[in-house]
Amino acid sequence: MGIPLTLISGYLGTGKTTLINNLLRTTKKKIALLVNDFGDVNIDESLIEARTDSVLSIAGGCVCCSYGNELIETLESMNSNQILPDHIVLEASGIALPSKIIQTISLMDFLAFHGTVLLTDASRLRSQLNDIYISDTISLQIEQHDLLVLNKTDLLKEDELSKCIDTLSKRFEIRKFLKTVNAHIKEKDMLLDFAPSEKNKSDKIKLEKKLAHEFISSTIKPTGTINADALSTLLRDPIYNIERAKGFFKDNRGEVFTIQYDGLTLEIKKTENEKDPVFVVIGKKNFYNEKEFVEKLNGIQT
Amino acid sequence: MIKVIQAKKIITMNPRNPIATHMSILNGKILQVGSMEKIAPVEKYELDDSFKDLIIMPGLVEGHSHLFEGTLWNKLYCGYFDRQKPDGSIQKGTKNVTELISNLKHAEDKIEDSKTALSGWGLDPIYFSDKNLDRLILDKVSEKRPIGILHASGHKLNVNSLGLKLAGFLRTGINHDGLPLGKDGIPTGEIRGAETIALVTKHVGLGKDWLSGDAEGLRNFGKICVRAGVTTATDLANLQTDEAVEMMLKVTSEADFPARIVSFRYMQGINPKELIPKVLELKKKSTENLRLGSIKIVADGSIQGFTARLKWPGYYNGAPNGMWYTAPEHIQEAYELALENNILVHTHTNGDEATELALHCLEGALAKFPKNDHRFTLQHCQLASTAQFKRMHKLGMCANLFSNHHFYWGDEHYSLTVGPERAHRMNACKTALKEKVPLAIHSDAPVTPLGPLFTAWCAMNRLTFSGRTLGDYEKINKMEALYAITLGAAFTLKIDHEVGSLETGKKADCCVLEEDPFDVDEIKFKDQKILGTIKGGKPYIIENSA
Repeated sequence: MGIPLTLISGYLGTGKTTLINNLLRTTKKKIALLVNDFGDVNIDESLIEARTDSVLSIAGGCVCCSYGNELIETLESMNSNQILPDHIVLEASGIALPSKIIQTISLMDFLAFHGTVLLTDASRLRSQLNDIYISDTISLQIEQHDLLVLNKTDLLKEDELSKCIDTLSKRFEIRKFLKTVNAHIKEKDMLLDFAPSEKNKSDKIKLEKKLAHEFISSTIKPTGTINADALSTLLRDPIYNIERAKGFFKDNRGEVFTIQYDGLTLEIKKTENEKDPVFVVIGKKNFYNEKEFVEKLNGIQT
Repeated sequence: MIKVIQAKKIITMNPRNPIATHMSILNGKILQVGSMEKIAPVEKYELDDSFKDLIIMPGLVEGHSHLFEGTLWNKLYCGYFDRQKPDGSIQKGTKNVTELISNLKHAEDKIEDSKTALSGWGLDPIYFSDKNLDRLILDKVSEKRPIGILHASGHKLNVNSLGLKLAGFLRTGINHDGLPLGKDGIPTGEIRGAETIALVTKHVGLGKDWLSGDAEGLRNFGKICVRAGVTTATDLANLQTDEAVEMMLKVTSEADFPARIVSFRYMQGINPKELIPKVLELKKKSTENLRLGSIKIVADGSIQGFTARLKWPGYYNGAPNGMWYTAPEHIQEAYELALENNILVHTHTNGDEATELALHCLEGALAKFPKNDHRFTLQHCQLASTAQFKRMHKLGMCANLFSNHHFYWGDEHYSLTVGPERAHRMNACKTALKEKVPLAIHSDAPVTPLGPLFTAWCAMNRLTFSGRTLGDYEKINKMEALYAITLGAAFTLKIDHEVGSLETGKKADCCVLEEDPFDVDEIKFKDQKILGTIKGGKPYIIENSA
């Protein structure tokens, strides 16, 4: 067990610092922040001054593949000074490869690596992936994500956005995916431990799935009862990337409900039909986070 | 008072007045150069005839070196080639592991404290024939004292078991590219890559404090300059902290400091917008002996380390392309801001893709901020093609090529990194001149030893360590080589109006030689005896010249 560390990575201008400012604004954790001061957006110092108890240190220095040992020195001094934060957030420089930094982190046994949050700029991603100078850097970075964030989606029209997502899904094996505007990500999604867990496998839910046209659909047959509000929150959570959901379920009073979700509007209505509980959940291949969705759904079943 | 220096021959590098015997000097600057009859001052003067049997030429200008060449010498030199120390004595090269062990043992005996680390530098085990170096071999020197030896490239470090233990890596379960494992599953003691090395250096006496703010190292560097005939040397990548700048200002203003230093602010850990005002402030602090206010950018890595950015077909042995050391957007932005603010930028580009990027960025920047005579220079620029040199000419760029590379790594470039054809075109001095790109050549000391006459020899002969000639066509002649290590380098630093030739109004900075370099055979050019330098009219003569 060590101090959890989350790596924030992504090319220049993808929103790394904005993401960190958002985190600092809302977190209740004692966070140690290691940033590189290379970017165009600066860490909002008012956030740091206002929260001197929770944000432990800022170290300059470029954290990249071949230069700079400030990172290591700061991490080591943090350890030797017994300043123990709840979580360390490390912002990599825009050209750094996460894998290189993770290797070095792995040598420090007082750290527990939690994962790489990799940001991309939706408005520039497709041209960057074709740029002769930086396409290989960006591709390698994307390959090395645990959570892939497509930021600045508001800068694209709907059809451009879907082209962008198509490009990502065709070129990369995606572990977890989020679409965001202004790098707004919930703290729990961002600081999550992405390491593969061996935890409880589901037996409350029978699952049938099939793959068609790059979509995955899961047919879920709950054997227990489900709270309508909890299910609603779960389906809307952007971390699972659910595009459609439809079917029936029972709540703890034995009442039957219908679900209708098209990715934007969710309707849960009581119905008089005596149907067996079953519903279908659909998401894009590589984006729809089926395993975790089903695990969570198990959690809210009684 | 006016001083007149008499020499057997003064080579001026001024084509209007190429050869002379006398030079009159006032306040460190040249009044006139010519025969005594022509230049004899009307007023009272002092004649210095101590050079009457010697040759004087302009002080050599090293266009790419680093001050820590002077600092390294407080640790043991472990390199393959014989190398001259700042005091002039020769440190013999280490030819095999057996010699290395014996040299280390000898050095170990001299350390009194039992816990002090034993540290060395310059190791080049690719030339070792006997065995691979690992921690167990270094344990034979001592198991009780940490030992660490940096390689010549600076990108590898070898430590003994105690050094590894102090760093926390004498254990199994390590999975890291920078820490190769032995058969026992424990790291071998060879540490690869700057970030991994950084985890270990402080445990083996090679920590950060070793190379920073070291006044003694700078004084040593001055001594090395005198021995190399250098009166102006660059310090091409310095973070220029307040402390470091204060130290450099102090040491370079000392009455007997023998060289002029041109120090470039390294663009690292800072974005271009924040860098520019800092550099403009530094520029104001410049003195006659320390020039500040220019920027160094590193675009890619090294070819022999497979970290340079190459164009298709990439590395000859199939290694993946290197990575950018500075983001392309930052290079572009720095170029624009530097042009706008009249700041000189030198950019390290080893691979041809990095060179292409620098050209692309400067084209964009010049479109926004058109400017004549910016003299942006590509440093190393080792793989540039003819087409790229043509573009450099059109954009007004200079090239400072790494001629020494052929001798030290040419055989590897031929067989491993870029293959025969590209190895022949590396550091294409002739093509650069043919395409009218202002040319300098360099040592990158301490990567290779400081010595412009040796660098000139490399550019004229293009011989590798094994004796292969790499690229006959790219050889330059003696005059071109001498120009590259004087006026050529001075031009890239925007100081060719002050140094680089001996003529009225310029600084009285000279290199003193025993023989006329125009009489020395090209193949023996590196063996010329340097007797010292003159800086601002003041002689610095080597006492114990070997």
